[in-house]
Amino acid sequence: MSLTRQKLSPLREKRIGAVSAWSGSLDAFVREAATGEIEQRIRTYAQDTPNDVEYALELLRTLDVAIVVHGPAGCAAGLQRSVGGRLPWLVTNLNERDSIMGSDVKLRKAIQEAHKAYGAKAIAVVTTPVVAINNDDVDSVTEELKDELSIPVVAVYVDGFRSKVGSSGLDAVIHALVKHLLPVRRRGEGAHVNLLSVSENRSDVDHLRGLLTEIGIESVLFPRFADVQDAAQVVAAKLSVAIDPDAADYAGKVLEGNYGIPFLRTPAPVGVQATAKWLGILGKELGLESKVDALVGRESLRLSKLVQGASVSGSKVFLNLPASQVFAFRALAKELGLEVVGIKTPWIAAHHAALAVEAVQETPELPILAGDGQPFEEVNLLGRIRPDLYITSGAPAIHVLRLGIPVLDLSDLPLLGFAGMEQVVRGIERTLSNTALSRFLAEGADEPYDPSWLKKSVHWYIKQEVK
Amino acid sequence: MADVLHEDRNGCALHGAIKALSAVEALVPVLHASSGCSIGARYGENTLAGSLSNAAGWLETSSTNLQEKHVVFGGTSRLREQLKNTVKVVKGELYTVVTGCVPEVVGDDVPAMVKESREQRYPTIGIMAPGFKGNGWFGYAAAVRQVLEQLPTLGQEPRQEKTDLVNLFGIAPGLDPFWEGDLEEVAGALESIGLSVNRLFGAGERPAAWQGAHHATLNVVLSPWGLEAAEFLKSRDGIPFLDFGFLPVGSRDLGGLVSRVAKELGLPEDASAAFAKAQDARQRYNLRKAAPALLSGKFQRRTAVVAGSSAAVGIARFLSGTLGQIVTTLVVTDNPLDEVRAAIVNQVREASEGIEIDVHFADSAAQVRQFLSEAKPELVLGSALERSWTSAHGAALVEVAGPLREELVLEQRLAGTTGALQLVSRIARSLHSAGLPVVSGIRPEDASRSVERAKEPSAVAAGVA
Repeated sequence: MSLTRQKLSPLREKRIGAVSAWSGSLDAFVREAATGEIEQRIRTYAQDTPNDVEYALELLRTLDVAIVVHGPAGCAAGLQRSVGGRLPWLVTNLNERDSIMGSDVKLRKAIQEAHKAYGAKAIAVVTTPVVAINNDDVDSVTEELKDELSIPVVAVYVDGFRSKVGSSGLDAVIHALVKHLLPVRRRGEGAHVNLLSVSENRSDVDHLRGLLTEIGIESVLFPRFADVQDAAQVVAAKLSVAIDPDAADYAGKVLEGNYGIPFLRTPAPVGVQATAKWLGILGKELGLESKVDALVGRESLRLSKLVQGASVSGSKVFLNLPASQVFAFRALAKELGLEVVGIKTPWIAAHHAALAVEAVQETPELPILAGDGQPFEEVNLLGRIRPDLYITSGAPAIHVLRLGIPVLDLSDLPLLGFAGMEQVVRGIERTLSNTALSRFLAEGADEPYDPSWLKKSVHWYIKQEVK
Repeated sequence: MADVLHEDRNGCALHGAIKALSAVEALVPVLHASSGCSIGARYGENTLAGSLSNAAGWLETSSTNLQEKHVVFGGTSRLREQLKNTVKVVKGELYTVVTGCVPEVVGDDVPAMVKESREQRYPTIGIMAPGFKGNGWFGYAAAVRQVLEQLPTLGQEPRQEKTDLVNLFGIAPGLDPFWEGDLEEVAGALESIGLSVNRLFGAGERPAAWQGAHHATLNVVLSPWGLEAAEFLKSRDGIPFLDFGFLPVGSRDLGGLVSRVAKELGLPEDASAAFAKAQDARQRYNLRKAAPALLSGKFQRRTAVVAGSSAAVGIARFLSGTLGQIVTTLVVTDNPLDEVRAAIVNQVREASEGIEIDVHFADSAAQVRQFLSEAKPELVLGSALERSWTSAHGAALVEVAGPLREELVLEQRLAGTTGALQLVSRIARSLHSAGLPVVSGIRPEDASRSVERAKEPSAVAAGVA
C-alpha cells in the first residue's frame, strides 16, 4: 500500500504523537506516557522556532538537487548557509501582487532557469506560508515541467503553520522524494542496505558508513547526502537501517510500505553499548555476526581504556539532544562518571519512555524540557540546577555562555558510533579543562529576562491546548 | 524588479526590520508571524558576521509562532497573549510588534493590540514588515521610518532643536556586515568637530536615542536606504538632511563628509579642515608603510566590487581614486529604487581614475556571475556568493558584503581611514594566498574606456573651497 498517495505528509504530532512543549520531571513524563500519549501543549509566551520550511531546506541542501523556494525572498534566506554547497538555489521572490494574484508563471520560470543554468539532475520545489494560504496550484506546474524537462521535479509541501513540530518538514521532504524521485517499482534486490540519515552531520555519516564497509556491508545514503543517480539503488536495497530511529522513522516506514524493504528497528548508535547493539542487529540480520563481534570487541577495548583514562568524573552536565539519543547519551555520561542533571529535547513523545527505563529508576526527579529553541525556559532551568557543562548539537547556546556555563557543541563534531564516543570524551575533557571564556562572559552579564520570570516555574507558559 | 532570484543575498523586508530592531539595546521586537520568520535571517548571518544584538541570542526573539487555526480564524488574540507575556518575561524599554506576511494576508488588527498594550502602560509600537513588500534593505528603511513615526504616540516631548545633534541614517544592521564599526567610524569623525551623534544602532544605543532623534539639527544620509527616514523627519519636524549617499571609505571621503556637514551647519572650517588633513596624513603614512607590498608588482589588479550601493560606491571610490586599483566593474546588489541609480553611477565615476567604471545593478547571483565573466577581474570585493566564480576563475576574493563566510566581523569596518587601511591589508592577504600570476595588462576593451580627468582636488582643498 502506498503511504505517499496523499499530497501532504502526515504531521509528526499526528503520526507519532510528537509534542514540542513539555516541562516536568522524568517521572512525571513516564507516568503521562503510560497513558499512551503525551497531551499536546502550547506556549502562551514563545520565542521564534525553526519551522518546517527551515527543516526541509536544511535537509534538501545536502542533496544534489537544485532548490526552488516558492515564496517571498526571505523564505529562502536559510539557504545562505549553503554557500558553496552542492548546487545553487533559487527563490521565486513573490511580491505583494503575486501574493494576491498567484504566481505559477514565476514558478515555471524559476524551475526552467534552474534546469538551464545548473544542469540539475532533479529540482526540488519548496512551498512557503504565503503560497499555502493562497492555495496556489503548484502540482500542475511541477507535473508539467517534469515532462517538459524530463527530470524529476519534486514538490515539497511545507507551510510554516500546520505543524507545531518543525521537524515535520523533514518528513515532508522524505514524502516528496519517495513520491517524485524514487522509481515507482522495485526491480530486483541488491546486496546493499539503505543507511537512513536525516539530521546527522557528515562526519557521523561517514564514520558509520565506514563501520558498515568494515563488516562487509555496502550502503546507499537516503535521504540526507543522497545522490539523484542512486534513486534506483534505494528501492533495490536489501533492507533499511536508521541512524536516528526518530528522524528516519518515516523514511523507513515509507520504504517498507511502498516497496517492501524491511526496516530494521535499531537504537541510535550513541556510545559503545548502543553502537554495538546497532551493529549487532544489522550483523544478525545479514549473517555477519562474527565480523561485528570482532569489530565491537576491538573498539570496546580501545574505548574502555579511553573512558578509564578520562579525567572528567564528577561534573554535572545538561544535555540538549534529540530524545532518541539523549538517554543513550546519559548512559554514556554515567560511564564517564558524569552526572546528568537536566535534559532538553526539541520534541518528545510517549514512545521515548521506553528509552528512559533505567534513567527514571535512578533519577526520577531529573528535569525534562521539550521545545525547539525557547532559550528563555532553559535560562530559568539552568539558573536553578547550575550544571558544570552544557552539551548540545547545533542549538546556538549564547544564552548558556551568558550564565557562565561552558558549552560543548557537537554539531560539527562526530557524536555517533565509536569515533563519536572518542570525540565526545575528548570534547568534554577539553571543554572542562579551560572554562575562562564562559566565566568572563558571565561577569556583569546583563540578562535580557525579567527577574520575575526567572523566579516562576519553568513550565509557567506551557499550557494544555484548548481545541 | 521582483524577478526570480538565484541565491538571494538580501532577504525580505521582515529580515531587514528584525535585524535593525535587534540592533537597538533594550528594544524588544515581538514578531507576529508564522514560526521561523526570523530564523532564516539569522542563518544568513551565520556566526561569522557576529550576533546582532548585545544581550540576546538569535533564538531569543519573542514570536507569536502562528498556527493553522490563527491563519483560519485570525491571530489577533494570540498577539494579545504574546504581548501580555512578553512584557513579563523580557526586560525592555520599547516593545515593537513586527508583522510578517501571514497576519498581513489574514488581516489581523495589530494596531488595536498595540493600543491595548499601551493602555496598560507598556511602551509598545507596531510596524508592518511583510516579506513580500520588498527586500531586507527596503525593510530596514521602512522599519526606521515607522519607528520614528510612531514614537510620539508614547508621549514625546516637543522638538527642541539641539544645534550640535545629528542622526545617522542608511547603514543597515546585519545587511551591512560592517555596520557597527562603520557607524562608530562616522560618528567618531563627526564628534571630533564637536557634534554629538545619534548612531541609533549598536552598543549603548537605546530607545532614548530614538526618542530624541527629532531634536537633531541635521540628518546625515549614508545610503539610499536612509532617505525614507530623513525625508520623513524633514516633512514632520523640519529637520534638513545631507544626502551624502554612500559610505565614506578612506580619508578623503571621510574628510569630505565632515567638511560638508560642517559647512551645512555653518561651523567654522578650521576644525573640519584640520580633521581632514590629519586623516589624509595618517592614511598617507600607512600607505607609504605598505609601499613594498603595494609595489610588489602583484597588487595593482583588475578589480570588481560587488556589494550594496553604499559600500559598493565607497569602496570603489577608494580603490580607484586613492589606491590606484584598476576598478573596471561595479555590481550594485541591493536593488535601489530607479530614481537613485543615476546618482549612484555619478558618485562612482566622479571619483574614479583611469578606466571608466561599468556600473551594473543586479541582485541575482546568476546575473552577478555573468557580469564578472564579462569583466574577468583578478580581484573581487564581494560576498561569499562570489566565491564560486572567483574559485573557478582563479581570482582573489575579499569579503565585504553579506553573506560572509570567512570574516568574523567584530569592530572591523570599511569606513574612514581605519576601514580603508584594514581593507588594504585584507586585499594584500587575499592576493597573496590566491597566488595570481604576475600582472596581466589592461585589456584592450577596458583601455578604450579610459577617461581623461583633471587631477582630483584633495579633500582638504575641497572642504576649504
